[in-house]
Amino acid sequence: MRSHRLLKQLAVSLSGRGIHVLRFDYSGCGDSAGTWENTSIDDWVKDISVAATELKDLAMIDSLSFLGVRLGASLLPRADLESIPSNRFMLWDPILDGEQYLESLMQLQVKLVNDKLRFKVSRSSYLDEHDELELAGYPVSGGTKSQLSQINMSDIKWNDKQVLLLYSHNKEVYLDFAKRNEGVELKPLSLQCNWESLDHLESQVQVPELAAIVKKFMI
Amino acid sequence: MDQAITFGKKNSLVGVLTIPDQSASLKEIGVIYLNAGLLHRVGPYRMNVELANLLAKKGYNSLRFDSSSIGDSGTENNKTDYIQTVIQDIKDAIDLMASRTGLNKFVIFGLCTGADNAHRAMVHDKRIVGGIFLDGYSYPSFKFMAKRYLPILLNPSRVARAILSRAKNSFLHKIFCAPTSTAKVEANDMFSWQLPNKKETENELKMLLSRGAELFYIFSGTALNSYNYENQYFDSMPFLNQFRHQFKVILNKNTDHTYRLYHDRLWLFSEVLKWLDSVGKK
Repeated sequence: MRSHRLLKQLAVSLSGRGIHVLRFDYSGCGDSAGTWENTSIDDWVKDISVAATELKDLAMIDSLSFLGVRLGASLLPRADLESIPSNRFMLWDPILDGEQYLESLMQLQVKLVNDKLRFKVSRSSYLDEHDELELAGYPVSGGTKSQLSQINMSDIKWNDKQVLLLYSHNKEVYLDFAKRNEGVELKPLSLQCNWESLDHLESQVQVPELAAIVKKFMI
Repeated sequence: MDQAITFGKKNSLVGVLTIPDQSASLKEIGVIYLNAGLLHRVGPYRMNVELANLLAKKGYNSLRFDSSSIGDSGTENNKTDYIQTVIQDIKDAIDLMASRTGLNKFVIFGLCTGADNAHRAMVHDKRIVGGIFLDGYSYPSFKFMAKRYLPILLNPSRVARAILSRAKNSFLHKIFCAPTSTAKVEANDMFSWQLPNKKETENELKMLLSRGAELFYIFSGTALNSYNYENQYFDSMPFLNQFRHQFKVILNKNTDHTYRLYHDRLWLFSEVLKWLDSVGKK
């Protein structure tokens, strides 16, 4: 939601340079079929392969580059892309530790229901009233919760891929990750994206330099 | 079943048509979802998608789309006047739905600026027989003012805080802020939201209701600063009392403006479905 406009503008900019671009929504997200409760992280990983195959076939191109945002950046290395020549990955603020991420989302949900600026009537009992797990307003199945907590990017094998990691926060964490993963290039972004901030939950992410960074990496 | 679609004279408006399940008995009214502010067509927390899927199971065709320059749409109908652009976009959306589904009656669904645009579209297009307005236009009544301001006036410490706050803001502004340029004032005016004149809205509502349109206003807890009791509309515009069968209002103080919580959205969907099923049957 927060990056939709920015990615659209990026797509328009890249297509203006003759580059075919596919943006897609994972199953159960955005315009895609399904619901959050009935889809899983594994489904989303498969969706990446499906999207990649679709673009390759539609545009009749030989190789692909990928831009993954946040959780998408963490899922990208797990996708089955063997049949698709793809040697450039751009990872924007990837989730390195699924357990920590899940914890931050659960804390966000607590802050959300206790947000006095948003709720004039107290909703602090909401979490006790309902059994389903809800993360930032979206219902999540137990399976998805478990898979989310298992995400760990320390075991990724990059092989011969060019990897550019864009970060807007957690500089030390990403620096450490780059040191332990040979071939990962780091690039700081000019603005914080505040991904799990309650105050920014519904605001569009702005990264003025994104198009220039992506074009430079790809061309 | 969903169909991604582009439409409009330049084919640059982007939307998704949701066709009912074959097992559902087809309804004679189509539903059109407008952008909520600058959010793209899926709506806050995917609200428009979930509602469209629920309504499809009940036999309703619906279309969610992005107006010119919002979401994935291009500059289809960009005129210098934003309102004219939106009205034309919505007309194009209705033309599309009519041609694809054969329907000629529509209900329009809008949140926030989407609610404002839903009202405008209804005024200009008789094919829209109903509107669902989430935190749409509202006007104060005497009781609203009493509920809003009496608790403050009866509390001396709140009065003192309010006076001090205004005085401080005025003093700081004079000291630290440069005089506002004419260009900046014009820009601020262009991008600031303004409630339309009450008489104008009243006349438009009279016109809509006289032609048989049905209107459903749902106010959230976030709107309490402008709508703080359920019958406020009937007090601020007494003529509405003769149209209670066509004009429905709900105030749910528990919810927030964008229905962030999943079960709040489920509540919203059930109210919308109930009302939709009653359209044309009163």
